Amino acid sequence: MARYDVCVIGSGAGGGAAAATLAEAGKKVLILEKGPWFDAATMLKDEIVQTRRPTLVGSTQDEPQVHVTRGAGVAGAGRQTSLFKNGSLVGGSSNLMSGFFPRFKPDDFRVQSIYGAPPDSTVVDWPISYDDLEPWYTKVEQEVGVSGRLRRMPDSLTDKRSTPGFPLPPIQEHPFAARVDATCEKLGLHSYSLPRAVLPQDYRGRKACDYNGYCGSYVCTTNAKGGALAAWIPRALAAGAELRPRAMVRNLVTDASGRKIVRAEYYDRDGKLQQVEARVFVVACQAIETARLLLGSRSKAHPHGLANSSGLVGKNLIFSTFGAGWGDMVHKDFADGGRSFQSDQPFINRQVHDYYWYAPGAWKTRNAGTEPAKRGMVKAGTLNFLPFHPNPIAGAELQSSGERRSNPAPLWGQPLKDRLDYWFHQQTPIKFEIFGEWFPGPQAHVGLDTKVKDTWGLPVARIQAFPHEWSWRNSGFLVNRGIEFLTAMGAKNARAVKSFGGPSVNLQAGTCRFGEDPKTSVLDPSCRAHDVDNLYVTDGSFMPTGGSVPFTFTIYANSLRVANIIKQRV
Amino acid sequence: MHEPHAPQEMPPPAPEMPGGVSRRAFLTRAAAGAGVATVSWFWGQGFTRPERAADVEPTLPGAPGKTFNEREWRTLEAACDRLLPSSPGSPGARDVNAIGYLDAVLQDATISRHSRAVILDGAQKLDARAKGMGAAEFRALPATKQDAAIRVFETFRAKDGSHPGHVWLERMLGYIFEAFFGDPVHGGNPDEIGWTWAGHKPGFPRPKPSQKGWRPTERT
Repeated sequence: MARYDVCVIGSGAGGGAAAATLAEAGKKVLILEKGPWFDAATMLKDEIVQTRRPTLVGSTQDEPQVHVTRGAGVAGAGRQTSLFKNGSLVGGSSNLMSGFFPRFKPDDFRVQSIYGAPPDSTVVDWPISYDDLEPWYTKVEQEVGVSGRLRRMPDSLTDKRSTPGFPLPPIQEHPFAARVDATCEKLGLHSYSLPRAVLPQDYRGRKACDYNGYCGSYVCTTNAKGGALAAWIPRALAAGAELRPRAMVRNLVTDASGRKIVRAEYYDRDGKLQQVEARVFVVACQAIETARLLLGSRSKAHPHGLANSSGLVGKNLIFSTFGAGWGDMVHKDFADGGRSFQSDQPFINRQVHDYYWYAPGAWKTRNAGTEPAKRGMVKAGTLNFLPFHPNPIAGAELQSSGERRSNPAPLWGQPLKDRLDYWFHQQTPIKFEIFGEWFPGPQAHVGLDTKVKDTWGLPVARIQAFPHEWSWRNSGFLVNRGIEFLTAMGAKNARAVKSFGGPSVNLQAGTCRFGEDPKTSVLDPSCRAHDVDNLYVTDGSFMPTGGSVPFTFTIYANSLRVANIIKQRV
Repeated sequence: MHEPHAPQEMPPPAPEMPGGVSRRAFLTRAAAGAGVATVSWFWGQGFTRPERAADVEPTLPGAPGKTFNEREWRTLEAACDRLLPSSPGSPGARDVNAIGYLDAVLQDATISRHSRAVILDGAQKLDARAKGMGAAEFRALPATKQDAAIRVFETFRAKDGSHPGHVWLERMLGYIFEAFFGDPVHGGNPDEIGWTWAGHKPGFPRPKPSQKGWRPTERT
C-alpha cells in the first residue's frame, strides 16, 4: 500500500495550493521541493543577496537551462542561462511576485471561438469556461486574502463576480494612482483598480503589509504577500503534510501498463537517490520544468516521455507577451517641485483594460482569410502602472548600460555621474508594464537538451521562446499606448525597453495543455493526464492560452479546483 | 548590466552570472548558516597586501589580496576612480571602498571564474596600454590619459566582433554599484554614504551590522 495519498512535486503556486487543500481534507500529503526552505521572517531585504546572487533561483552552473536564440545558428546551439528560472525555493516563484490578482475575463477561455486563431498558431479554446473557475477565484480571494475595490466600469470591462466585493479593502497607494486616474479621464480610458494579494490588515494568522519598500522580487517578511510560502505551505504543514526541501525529482516510474505511477525517484540534499510511493502524483514545477520532468521520465510504456502519447508535452509554450517602459516625472516641471509624488509607497494598483481587445487597424494580418472574428477585433492585453522598482543597484546599472541606444558601450566617468544625479535627484520615474496575449504556436516550445546536464546528471530543458508575429505586434501596440499614457500624465522621455515583444520569462504556461481530446491535449479537463490515471498537473502548464493578466491567481484557482477533484478519489 | 525584461509581477531573473557555487559548497555554507566574509573594509592604508600565491590555503573568502596582487590592485583601484570619480558632494568609487569590495566579492563562491577572468584581463589590458603611452603602469598615467586608455579598451573590437571592453566595463560597474548601493554588511557603502547621496530608503528588515556577508538560513 502506498505510504502517501498524494505526492506533490513542487511547492509553488500550483503545488502549494493543492497540497494545503488535500492535507486539510485529511489526506496524507508529501511535498517534494527542489529548492531550499527559508524562513520568511529571516529573509532580510538585501538587494545583493536576494536579487543579484543565485540565492533564490539556483546557480546557472549547477542548474542551467539552454535557451535557443535567433543568433544561435545551427541546430544544437544554444546559450546556457538562468533567464527562465524564477524561483527555486519552498513556495517557488510565487514568493517573489508583486501580487497582481485580476481574474481572467470570460473571453480568455474562448479566444479561438471569439477572435479566431491567427495563422500559424495553435490557439484553441479552454475545455472549461469562466463560470467553471469563478467559484475557485472567489475561494482564493477569501483564503489568500485579496484586497481591492470595485470601480464603476463599462459592462465589458467589469469583472463577472459572484460576490459583491473583495474580502479586504485596498492597500495604501502611491500618489501616482490619482494621476493615473486623472490621465484615464483625460484620455477617455477607464482606470481599473487592481486587486492585490497583499494584506492591508492582519488576516488569518498572517501579518499586514508593513510597507517595507522592497516587495516584488523579494520574499515577504510579514507574510502579507500571498505567495505559497505565506499562504499555503503553513496550512499544509499544520494539517499534517510533510515537506522535503532539497529534493530533486529525477523521474516518475509507472507500472508495466504505463497507466499508473508507482513511485517518484528523487535526489535528497546529500545527492542520495530516494524514492517515494503514493496513490496520486501532482506535478507543479512551473511549465518549463514540469515538461522537462515528464519528458525525462521515459519508459517502455512511455517511450517519448510520460503522458506524451500526443507528442504535445513541452509544446505550445506560452508566456505573457512582455513590454514595459517608463518616463521621467521631472521635478522642476511641477509647481510643487514634484514633492506631491515623491513617495516610498510601493503600490499604485492601477491598470488599463480598455485594450483587452482592439481593432487591428494599425497593422494588416498576413492572411485576410483568417481575420479575427469578434467584430474585427483582436485580443491584445492590459497596461499596468507601477513605481520604478526601488532596487538602487539595478537602477544605477540601468543608467550605465540598460538605456543605451546608439552607443553600445556603458556610460562611465562624468557622463555616468551626471546621469545618476538626474536619475536619483531630478525626477521620479513612472513605469508601465504590459500583459499581452501570447499566441501559442510552433515557434515556442520546450524539449530536453541532448548535451547539457545539470548537477544531478539530468538533461536540462532546451527552450525556444520566439513570439508569434501577432504577439509581437500586440506588444508594440500596447507599448505605444503606454508611452502615450505616460506622456499625457506629464512624464518626459517616455520610452520602452528594447526587448518588448518577447516572453515575460516569469509567466510561463501551456506545456501540458488541457482538453477533451487525448490526441490534441496532454491533460483532460480535470488536469489529469490522458495517459496516466494518477498523474495531475496543477501549475500553469494546463493553460492553452494565457489571458492578458498575470497567471498566479488563475493557477491558484485552478489548483483548488483540481485538488477538490483529487480529494474525491483518494 | 541588464535591461529589465520582465514585469514585476514576479522577479526579474538573476543577473547572468554564469558561474555558480558548487552544490556542495552552497549546501555546506547554507546548512551551517555561516556568514561569509565578503568584506575587506578593515584594510588600512598601510596594510601590505601579499602577492597572490597559488600555494595559499583556501581560507575565508575575502582574505587580503585573495583576488588581486599589488599591481592589479593599483590598476583596478585607479580604474574604479575613473569609472565613478569622486567630486565634492558626490561620492565616487573610492568613497565606497569599491576596490576592497571588488577584491573580496570575486572570492564569493557564487561569482563565476569568468567574471574574475574578465576583470583581471581588463587590468592587464590597461597596464599594457599605459606602457604604450610611456608609463610604467596604468596608475602612473594622469587622469586624462587614464581615461584615454580606458576609451581605447572600450572601443576595441575583437576579430569575432565582440567588445571585451564593454563586458569589462559592465562587470566593473556592476560591482562598483554593489559597493555604492549595497547593504554595508557586504563591505561597501560605508555609513550608508551611497544611499544618503541617492536619497534612497532601503527596504527592511535589513541585516544587522554583525551579519557581515549574511546568507539566509535554511530550514530542514
